[in-house]
Amino acid sequence: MLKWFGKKTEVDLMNTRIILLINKFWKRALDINVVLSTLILICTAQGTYGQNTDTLKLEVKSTQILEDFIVDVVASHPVSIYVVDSDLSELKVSSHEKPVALDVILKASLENSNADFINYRNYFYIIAPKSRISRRLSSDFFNALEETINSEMNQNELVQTVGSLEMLDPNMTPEVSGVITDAETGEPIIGGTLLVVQNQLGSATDVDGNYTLELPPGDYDIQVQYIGYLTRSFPVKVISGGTLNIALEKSAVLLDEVVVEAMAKDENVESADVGVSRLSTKELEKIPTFLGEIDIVKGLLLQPGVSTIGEGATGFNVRGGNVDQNLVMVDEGILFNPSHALGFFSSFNPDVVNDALLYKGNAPSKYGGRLASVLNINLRDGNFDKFRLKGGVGLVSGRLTVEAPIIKNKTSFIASGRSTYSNWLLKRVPIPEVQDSRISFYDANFRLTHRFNEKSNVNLSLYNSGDNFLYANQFGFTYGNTLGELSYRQIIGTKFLSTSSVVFGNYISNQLSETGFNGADLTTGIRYNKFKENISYNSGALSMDIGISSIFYSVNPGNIVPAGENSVVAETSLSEEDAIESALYLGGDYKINSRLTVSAGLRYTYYIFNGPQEMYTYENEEQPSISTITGRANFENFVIKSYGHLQPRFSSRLRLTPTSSLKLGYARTVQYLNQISNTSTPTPTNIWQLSTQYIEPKTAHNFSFGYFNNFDNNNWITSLEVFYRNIDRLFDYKDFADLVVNDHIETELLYGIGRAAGVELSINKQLGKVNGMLNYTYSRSQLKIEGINNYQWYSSNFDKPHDLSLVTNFVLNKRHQFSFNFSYSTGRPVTLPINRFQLGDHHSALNFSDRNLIRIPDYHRLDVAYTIGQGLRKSKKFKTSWTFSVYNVYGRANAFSVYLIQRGSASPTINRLSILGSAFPSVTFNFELI
Amino acid sequence: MILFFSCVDQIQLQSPPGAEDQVVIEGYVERGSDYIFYARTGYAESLDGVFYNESLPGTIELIMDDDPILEMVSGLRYKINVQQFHSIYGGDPNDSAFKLRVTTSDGVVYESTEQKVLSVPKPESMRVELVEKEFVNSAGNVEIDDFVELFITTPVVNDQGEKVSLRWDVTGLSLFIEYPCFPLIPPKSCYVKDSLAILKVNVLNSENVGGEKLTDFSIDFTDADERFAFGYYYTVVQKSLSDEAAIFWQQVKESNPEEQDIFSVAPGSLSTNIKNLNNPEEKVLGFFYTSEVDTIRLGVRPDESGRQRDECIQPNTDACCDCIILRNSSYERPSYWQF
Repeated sequence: MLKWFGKKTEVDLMNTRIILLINKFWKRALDINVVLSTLILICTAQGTYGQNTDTLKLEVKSTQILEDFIVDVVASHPVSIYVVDSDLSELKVSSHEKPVALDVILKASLENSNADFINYRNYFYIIAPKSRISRRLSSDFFNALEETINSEMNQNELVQTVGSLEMLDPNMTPEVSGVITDAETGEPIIGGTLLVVQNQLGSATDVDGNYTLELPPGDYDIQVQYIGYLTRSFPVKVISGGTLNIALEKSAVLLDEVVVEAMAKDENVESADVGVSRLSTKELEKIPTFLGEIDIVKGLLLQPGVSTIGEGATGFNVRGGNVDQNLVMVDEGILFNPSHALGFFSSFNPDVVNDALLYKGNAPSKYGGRLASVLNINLRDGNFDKFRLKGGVGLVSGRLTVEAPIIKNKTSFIASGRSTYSNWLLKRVPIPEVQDSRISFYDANFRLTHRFNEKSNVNLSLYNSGDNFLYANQFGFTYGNTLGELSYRQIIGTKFLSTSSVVFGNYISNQLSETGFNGADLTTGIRYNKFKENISYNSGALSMDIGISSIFYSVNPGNIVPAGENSVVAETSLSEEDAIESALYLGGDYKINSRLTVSAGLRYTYYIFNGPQEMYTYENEEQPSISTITGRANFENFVIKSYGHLQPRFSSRLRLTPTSSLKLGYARTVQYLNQISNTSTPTPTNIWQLSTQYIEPKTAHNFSFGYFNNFDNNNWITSLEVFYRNIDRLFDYKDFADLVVNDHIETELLYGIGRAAGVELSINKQLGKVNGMLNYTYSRSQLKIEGINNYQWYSSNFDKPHDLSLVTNFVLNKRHQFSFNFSYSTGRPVTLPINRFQLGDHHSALNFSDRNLIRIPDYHRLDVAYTIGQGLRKSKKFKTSWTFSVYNVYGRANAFSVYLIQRGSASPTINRLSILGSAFPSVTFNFELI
Repeated sequence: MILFFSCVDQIQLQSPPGAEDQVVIEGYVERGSDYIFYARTGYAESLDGVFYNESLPGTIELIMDDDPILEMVSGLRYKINVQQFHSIYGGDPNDSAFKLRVTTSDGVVYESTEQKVLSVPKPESMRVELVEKEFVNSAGNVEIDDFVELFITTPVVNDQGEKVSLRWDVTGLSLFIEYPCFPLIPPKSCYVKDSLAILKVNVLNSENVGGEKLTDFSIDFTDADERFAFGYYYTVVQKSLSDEAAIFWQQVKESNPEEQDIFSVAPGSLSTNIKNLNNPEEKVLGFFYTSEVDTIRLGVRPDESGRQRDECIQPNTDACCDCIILRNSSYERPSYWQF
């Protein structure tokens, strides 16, 4: 098979011996300015060329049109003839009874025309206007000619050819670029890697599947890999810069292949990124899950440096950071609560997610706004080729995804929904509290993609979710996310990609306390509009991003209304607060040589807390307190307070051997938006608080260092990373702080500093019948706040020094897989009473420990899963699988919350609430129509 | 489904070392027509332990205007007429400041901050209201029952023009009439003191009051049960507090486990106004406060509570034949009882 790659046009020559291709392009060769605007390429796919220097002699039995003559000659003889900007249809070839040299025939035929020809080694001819022909052609020109010829010789080796003679620019190293896509869906593959075997050069695809490599003309072997896809290896002949699009075939469903590679070969060693975890839904499918639902956040929790307070807790903690220190993005949209159902499910429907990338502290400069991490969830486009249906049915929830082209290869959509149907089940549980409880959620995704052409497309994404939880008709909450995003991508030239995005987001939460006397309904929320323009540049060794973004926030700090007739709660409503967070950034990766790659960036953010806004004034604005309130003032100015921060980012990779490297990274991060809560566990109703003139933004320095080493041909992937973060202007809450609907919330906060440090060890076995991963983290997360614990360092709420997860998969055969997951972590710190004392005759008081001095019992859990996949036939249109799992096999009662109960004058007892205190079996049926 | 698998159990957590050796010093000066002086020293007890009256070895002194006036015994109350007290020890009832000093046998000195006795505003009135409320019974089912809610109306500015914080101690008295168990002996009536409400901390920090008066401020909420069948008397002692003392009592209230659920704010360290002068870093437990008290009563007629007699219609308990066996009961009819 021989392919010719013109500019955006691919022609398969196969057994066709002559192809006429009209294409517009430009070309500049050394010493001659041959501008070729229209090319007729004539080539042959068969015959023996060799280094034949004998002149081809031909008999011409009758006079014929020159163009027809050339077609016949090329078809039957080992020569190639290019015709450039010359009309041969009027020219004729005279008959010759005896064999005459081809040169002679061409010279005679062209004699009275404006065209002339060049003969290269008697088997390669170029016919072009005389004005453009120069005899001073460079050696590169002819080398490229030869390469082209050789590529035609190697047709049986499935050689892919990039570029053409006409595109050769001897002044520049050819740049090979293209898109790596899913062969089945045409979806771009993000994070796919290419490796040039001969020089170990590599490249990874960006969010649109694009890659770029700089390769001198020559022959190469290319390896292309991505998790869950069959690795492709093939020879490539590079003649000039050009396009090489590559389609990867899925490794069917996981069980079709005994061996599934979780990461592109040596990606962790090659990349300059440090502190990055990448997850795909394919990887997640191997992990035993609660209720059989694969879940991105649950997968992340198995990664080193990522932890949670426990089952039922909203969000996740990264490298000792609070839940609100994670920027959770769905494409360019921001999610303020990524959890469903008390945190048992994340908000991301796995069927519409392409992959997830978690930057732990060292995010590129195009991301910002949070101190600890960036979780970037990339959604996928709908299928441009055919209708597909995918879904799953579990014990309490179901999901369905439909995707199809609207205009084939032009416009597609994907629509997906998930919902629970658990309430009917609760009604049948013979426990009154459960019968009077409700827990449900739904989410819906819709995405419309239109490709204007191969260089530009537009996406419209919509997302809506809702949660409802009520416990025994006593308390509960509801919350919902809405996201809308319109983005336009345009490739400019061959090296630039412009992405413009407009996003709308809204998060509303509502907390209902017990009905009756204290019944109250508390509503809070945050709304935002975002604009972002990002321009990416990629030239192989250098890739860069430059961009600008603005986010307009409107926060509802809370309004509370009495619930029910008997409530005595007073209705209170706080006015909305507004702010604008803008950023300008520049960042890029530069491969200095094959051993050293550096990544550097700079981000400048400018934040405005804007008016008009009525606020309290204080004698000392630095330390606002109730006792120093001087009054209440109306701040009419648009800018009440502004902050500007320069945030440098840097990371580098030093390759020690082909399979090992050292990396280090630094990032300055700033956070203007904080979640306010002093409850013992995060809840969906925690309030988002903007930075104001009294509440300054938090800033952090993040340092990372890592050693990465892969063994046994990428079968064993290991890493050891060390991190350290310090935070300025970190705040914690005064004892007994009142944060609900408080219009002087700044008086309830105490300021100080924070630090987090740790070591992360990761061992990942990719291949074989037994594969899996072991991740262990030792870390500490501490605060030092004036006014708390005598201004001594104390543990943060999520300081869990030891955190271990072990996932093991036993691939029994192509259909059957057994896996287990064991998790262990140190119990989190809490503040509990340590003793009590009498007050007079009638009262006693509990004496609480210093903040977070006591630890709850350690957390550990074992899950198992057994999956029966679809059959051996990959061609089946309807694929099904069953997953049987048991979550928390040995019924460990891990604490969600620890609290006191005291009945009358009896001694108080410490009670542990375990959300899942026993083994939890489930079965899920998944199906896919393709 | 998740709720079905949830569970609650008791656990033991390891306390930091030395937690049970923490020093407790508490006391108060209450002024009505008499002064009541009280102080107690001792040690904190473990959560599941009982309180022992083990006091610190050493002396407890009550100091007024920097002069020691009384050496006290831990746990005892001292009562003296206000006029008599000042005629003996001098000082001005509205201006004198009190503090506690404890000196242990090994020479460690603990001292409280000085506290003036703030005049208490006179409560104007109280009223009750019968309300229906949903609650979860012991079987786990939601029930609706009648409750009696007690409201007080009072100024928060005293006769000195100061806005003061307030605390209320609420007690009740109910009438219990026996069943005629014995033919020749008429059934007796007992007056039973109800102290359940006093266990609750009712406190209001003046910072949280917008105006100068509290109107219909709820201070108690209790079952409209048989206690109200023959009438019920609320006795409310209104106490003035400094803002500092009010914060302490508010913290005591918020630390009460009965106020907590899993989404509650995590309480913290209680404030104190007592320091170890030799080692200021030592965390001392307890508080010394001063207050003026004023008492107000409200009688609740049987028809106001809507409660019908359903006890001792038959001799179904021992108390129906001998009511004096009831805890805190007395045959003596209080002078204020009018039903």
